[in-house]
Amino acid sequence: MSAPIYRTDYPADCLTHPLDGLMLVYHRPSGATHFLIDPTSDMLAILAEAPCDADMLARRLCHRIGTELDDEALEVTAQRLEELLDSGLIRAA
Amino acid sequence: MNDARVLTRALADPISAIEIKPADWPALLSIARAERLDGSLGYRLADLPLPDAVRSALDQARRDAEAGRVQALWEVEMVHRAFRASDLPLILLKGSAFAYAGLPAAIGRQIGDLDILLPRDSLQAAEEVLLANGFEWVKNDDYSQGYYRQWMHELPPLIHRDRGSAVDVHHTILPLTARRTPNAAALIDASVALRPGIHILSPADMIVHAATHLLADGDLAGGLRNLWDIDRLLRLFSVDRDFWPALGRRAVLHEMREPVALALRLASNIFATPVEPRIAGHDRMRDSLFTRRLLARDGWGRETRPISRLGFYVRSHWMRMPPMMLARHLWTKARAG
Amino acid sequence: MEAMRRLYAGYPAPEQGLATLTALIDAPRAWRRWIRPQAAIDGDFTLPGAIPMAIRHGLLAMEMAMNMQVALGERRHLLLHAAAIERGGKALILPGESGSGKSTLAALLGEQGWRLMSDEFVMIDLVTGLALPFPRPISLKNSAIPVMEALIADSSRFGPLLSDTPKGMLRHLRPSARSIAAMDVPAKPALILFPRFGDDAAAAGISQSELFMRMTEGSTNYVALGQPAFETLIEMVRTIPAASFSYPDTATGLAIVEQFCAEAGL
Repeated sequence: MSAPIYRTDYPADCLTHPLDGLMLVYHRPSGATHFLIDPTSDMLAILAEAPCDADMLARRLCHRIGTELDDEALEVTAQRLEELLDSGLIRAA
Repeated sequence: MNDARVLTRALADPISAIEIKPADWPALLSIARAERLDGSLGYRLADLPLPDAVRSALDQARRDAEAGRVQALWEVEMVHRAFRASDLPLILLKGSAFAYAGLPAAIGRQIGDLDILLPRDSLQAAEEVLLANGFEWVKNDDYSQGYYRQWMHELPPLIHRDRGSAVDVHHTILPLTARRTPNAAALIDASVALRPGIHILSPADMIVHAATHLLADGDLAGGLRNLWDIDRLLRLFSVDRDFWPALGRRAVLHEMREPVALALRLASNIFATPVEPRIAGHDRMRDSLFTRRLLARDGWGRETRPISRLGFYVRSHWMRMPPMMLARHLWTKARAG
Repeated sequence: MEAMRRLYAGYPAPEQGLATLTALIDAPRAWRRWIRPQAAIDGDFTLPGAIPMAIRHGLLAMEMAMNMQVALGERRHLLLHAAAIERGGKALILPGESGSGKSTLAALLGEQGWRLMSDEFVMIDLVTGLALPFPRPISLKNSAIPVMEALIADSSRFGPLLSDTPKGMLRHLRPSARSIAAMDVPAKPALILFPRFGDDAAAAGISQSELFMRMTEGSTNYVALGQPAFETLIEMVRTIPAASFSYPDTATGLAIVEQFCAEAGL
């Protein structure tokens, strides 16, 4: 069974506004407002460029923000992905 | 007689609203809100020359309905994502179905819970998927859970812990204890896929469902809105010449000829809906009792005619449950407070 | 009823006598009309589980019923649970729940050169960003009552004294004639202050993101309004300075408010 690919409608179906290092997002399809802390908005931006699975996402994320791709990075990525799925900002294909 | 006719008239014949006197508007707005038809009224009267205060109130109702529609469609999307992973079909019912399909009945409609239909043997899987995706039981005591699972036509209600939205999972249209129940398998077979994995009922079945829901499953509370749905749906569907024969056939198949006939007569009576007389049949004496119950609101939006209301409540429970069960159920409910 | 009429004396009648919201108080069960009579709050918009009140507090129940209609039904403007006062065309907004002291501060300032816009609900126009007034009788509670009684000579502006309500002693105060006359005059929000009564004097600035969050928490209709509300609120937090402060007594509170106002140019 292959790993799920994650897709997002961010930022196309959203209004976004950075405030104090947070990203405020109004997600039009759900009518919900989200406060995103790093690295969540980076993750969304990466998925918006090209959908991918969790491992690839972690790799691209670490490359983008300049950190090591270690176990902690994988775990943080996985946790944020869960939250993003719950909020509906991403979906698994 | 002061009742909701002022609302039905405005809905059926919007232009007539221009003649409403300022002193009569508060009652109309209150009744519309009480019947949850304020959004629909807002759209029906949208471009008419009306007093500013009224226009503002109707504008609010439209916005409210629109916000509700966005949320309802989002709920469909999120449940669809959860179901798709488990290959469960999503068959939408009522308001969410209208909204998803862009039917005229959806215009201005306030949508409450997400109502879906599933084959009975998919219920277990659906329950697991929903619980795994953030939904929780509303009534978690043993008696309620037992009551719903054994006798009712739906899972106990589920609410999403973050979104606060509710899902009602039905496996048929009426409780298992009802004397006659529509054919759930036939409803599912004839359902129409709007998108892979997202279905709505066929047009004729939609009317059968609405009629069943209006009359056989309730004490007619909120019945005017159901009847308005039926009016809007019929006007659209009847454009197709095959629709009326199909409705006749499906009403027979589901053993719902009488409820469908009565629903058509009431719609014709209250909203001047054009209906096929061969299916609607002749007016009956009982019709006026139903009509009065549907229109029972005073100028403050409160339900009137309590005696009539109680009669319908007892009747509706009797239709759902055999009398012995009814007594036991009411007794347990009373003890729980 | 007579008490209501007196409390709303001087308010303009609605155009063509047309009201668009219905607030109700009613006996929760028919027998409650006569045996220990109660008033339950109801109306077009309602919340389940509202506890009925004693009939002698009917005036309070009526005010609460009306508040509920606005809180639940407003969809034209962003509704904030806040007091607001105006000076020189600029508005100071004081968000807060019951007990924060916002009503008392606003009432006092409304008698000392400021125009009271509202003590309970402020509406923000989604197009212009202006604050819209909503001057209703102010609910004075407990210690605030003698303070205002001492300040205001015109006793006809006060409603009856209601004792042992769920919130203690309560007395309604009609806003000044100036407030009522200006009920359609908006003002540009220029400062947002979150008061907290009962602690030592202290103050802290609020970041934009925190302000955004607190404003949504203090709004009954932010979610229902959707995108326009998001945009309006972003604009507000970007352009309006905000702070929170605590105060041990009203004199100190007023002094802190005036100091902030001086710095913000109100």
